[in-house]
Amino acid sequence: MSLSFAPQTPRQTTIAKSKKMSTTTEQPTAPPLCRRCKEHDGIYVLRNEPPHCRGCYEYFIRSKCVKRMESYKIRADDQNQIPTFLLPISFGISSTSLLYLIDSQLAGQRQKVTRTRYRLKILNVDESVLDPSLPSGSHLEVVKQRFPDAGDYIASKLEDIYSFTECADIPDLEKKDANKSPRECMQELLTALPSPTSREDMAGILRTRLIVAIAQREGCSGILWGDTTTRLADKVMAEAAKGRGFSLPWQISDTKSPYGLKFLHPLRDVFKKELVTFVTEITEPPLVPLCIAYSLTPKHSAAAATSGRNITVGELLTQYFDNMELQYPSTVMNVVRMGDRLKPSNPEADPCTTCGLPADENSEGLTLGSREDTGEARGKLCYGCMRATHGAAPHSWPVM
Amino acid sequence: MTSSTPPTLDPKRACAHCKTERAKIKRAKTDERLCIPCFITIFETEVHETILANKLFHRGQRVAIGASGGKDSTVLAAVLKTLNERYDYGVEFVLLSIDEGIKGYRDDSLETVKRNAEQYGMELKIVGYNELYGWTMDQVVSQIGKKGNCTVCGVFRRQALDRGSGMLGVSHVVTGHNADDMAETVLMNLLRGDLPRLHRCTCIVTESSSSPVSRSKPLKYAYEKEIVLYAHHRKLDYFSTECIYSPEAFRGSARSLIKSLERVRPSAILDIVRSGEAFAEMVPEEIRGSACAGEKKIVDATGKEEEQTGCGKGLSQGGEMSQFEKQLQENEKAQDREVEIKISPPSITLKEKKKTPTPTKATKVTKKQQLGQCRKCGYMSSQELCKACVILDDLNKNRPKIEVVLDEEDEDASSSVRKKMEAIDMSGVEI
Ligand SMILES: [Zn+2]
Ligand SMILES: [Zn+2]
Ligand SMILES: [Zn+2]
Ligand SMILES: [Zn+2]
Repeated sequence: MSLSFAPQTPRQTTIAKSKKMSTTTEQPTAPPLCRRCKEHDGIYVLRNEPPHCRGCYEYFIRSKCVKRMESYKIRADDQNQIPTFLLPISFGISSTSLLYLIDSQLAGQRQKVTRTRYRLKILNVDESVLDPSLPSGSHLEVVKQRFPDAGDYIASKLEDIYSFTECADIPDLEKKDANKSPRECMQELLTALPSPTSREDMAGILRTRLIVAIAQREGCSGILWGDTTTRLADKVMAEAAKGRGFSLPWQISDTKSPYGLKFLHPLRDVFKKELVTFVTEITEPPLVPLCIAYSLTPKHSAAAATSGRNITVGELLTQYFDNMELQYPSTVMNVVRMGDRLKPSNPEADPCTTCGLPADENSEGLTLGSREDTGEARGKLCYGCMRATHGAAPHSWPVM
Repeated sequence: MTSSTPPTLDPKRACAHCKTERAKIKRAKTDERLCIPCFITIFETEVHETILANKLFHRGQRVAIGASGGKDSTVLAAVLKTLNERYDYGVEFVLLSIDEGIKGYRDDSLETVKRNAEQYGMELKIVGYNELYGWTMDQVVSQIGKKGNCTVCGVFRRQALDRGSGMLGVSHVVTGHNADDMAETVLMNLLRGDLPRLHRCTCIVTESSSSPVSRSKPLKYAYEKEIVLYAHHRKLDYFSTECIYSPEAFRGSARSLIKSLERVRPSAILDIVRSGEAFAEMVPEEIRGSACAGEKKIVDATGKEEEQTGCGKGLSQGGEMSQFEKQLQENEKAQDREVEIKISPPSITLKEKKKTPTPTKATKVTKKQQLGQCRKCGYMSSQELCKACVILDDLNKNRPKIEVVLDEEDEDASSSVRKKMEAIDMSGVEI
């Protein structure tokens, strides 16, 4: 098996061993010159190219992001109003890097043309209700100190979704118990779900819907997601594995989402491993202390991934692509390119009451129509949401 | 009687279907706990529903079951016989087996098929690579080595099934592909970024303009685990050894991923099949290639075919994935330099990415080709020689290299990567 789950070289450093790079010089210890500027020592390997110096590495990452941002053609509207974008930050390396890059792009615009082309708001969703070990929202203050001029900072918690829910028009969806706090309601909801994968899946949906709701409240016209190439490839497979293949265009493409906002992914041309190098060795001072959600060691051992114990579908595929990226980066990129070409087959369909996306038309129950479905009808659910909530204890779902 | 249904049976332990027997198994699809008799019935009913929903058969039809002696095709034959009698389909089922000529694998499994033919009272036709082509797979492997042999096997098998169907006078072959196979193929096509195949790999019925025979997969929604369980409880006679030759690397990777996903969440296999069905509708029309049976067909002579390479069982090698990766990287570099891509890109994705609307030469030529007949053997072919004859020519000449250029549509999972790396190294000829 060429592609095991075992991370043989977990998060391998991209600093080239100078010995290996010695072919062009006589002295075995002297690193070659940077491929781009041909002035400084090239010590950081980029893609399949000869190594770059620190400055040129940063330029490479920055230009990948800037090129994407340019392609979105973000402009002031007819009334000369500039649009606002929301940047959700999870304190991982991708969203933190994106904030760093956008912040300096905005600073550059302020210097050159006195006014920026768009405004930024930064949002963190505290998910400690899901798992107390997850980073607390209080870290947002630390991020704000580093990027004070980037834009407004908004702190929020996953259970805040209850303040956005409207009265359900589906009768069998109970509204939240008035005597319970939103946090208690959220905990009950999540524990009612049948498996860790279902919890992860549904929490992701709630997170997205909360972010969208806040973006709308704040008058944003789009959301800048931090997803890298690697993460998008992982999503292609993870959504497929959760029976949510129909929703892919809205998960990975730069497009207007059915929620009415633009979903954009400016880091879609950057690999995760490149950002690891970026936050640890390139940025000055290093960004990595800000990335408290990032851990150098994988959450699950290779053995756990193979045995399937205590791991979720999402975590399994994240590890799969983190490993694949090291050996087959172009294959990973190709997965994203392919996913990006898939078009929603029925964008006008009625939305699923849970995830809010136009539900796949011919969902025929959990046995795909090969038998009468035993599942109880609970509003119009897409296949993925039906699967994630199948066998759940009775629970109330916030309806938006 | 009473011992199996004690009056105090805990409802939690009771079969969800009959509510009287003690549940013995838990289904991955629905989490239902069932007793064995209910499981057997439900398993059969689901296959029946699949057949009805897709109108797979009609009364008076003669249909061949592609029988390998393995668990899937043995269960398929047993279930179809049962359903044919229970619901009076009025279909005549016959068995069609391919003898690839693999010692210790096929010769033993064919004995199983012969017993099945007797047990089920079905006519059996065995077509051998040796009689059709003058080569057994063992001889092919000793000639060309283990690399690329699944490609050869896939080309040979496809034609052999068509020829066997002709001998039996059938125009419809059912195969034992199960939900695990379907899910694996979906993941494999995702990994390879292969949109045309993603469009059709979950079709239950496939028809090809280059084959007179349509194929269907009545066990498409059946879990491999349930197939084994069904075979076990009905005490079916099947052969459990898998092919000794290796499948393509992407399939191997997809397979181990499927197994892990199934361990994490048993429903994942069916969930992937569901996603695969959604993807089929999401592939843009212009790159779909051939259509599922029943859909309006884009007529093109290139002979689409969803056949898997060889048997697709066994261990895999990583070489092909590295080849694929290398090819993608070369394409990226070529795109960076904005020069014409000379090598065939491994997937259509890249081809269409180019600004210039000039497709590579190969694509243009194939689109214009008319479906004709192989000059040598008369088999349907868009080229002068069919693929099998091209391979045979090279095998027979014993040239140092085989240069079969498989086109995009050559669906035996040889993967389009092979197009460029078809120079199969024959230096290591044994004997
Ligand atoms: Zn430099
Ligand atoms: Zn849904
Ligand atoms: Zn029962
Ligand atoms: Zn021929």
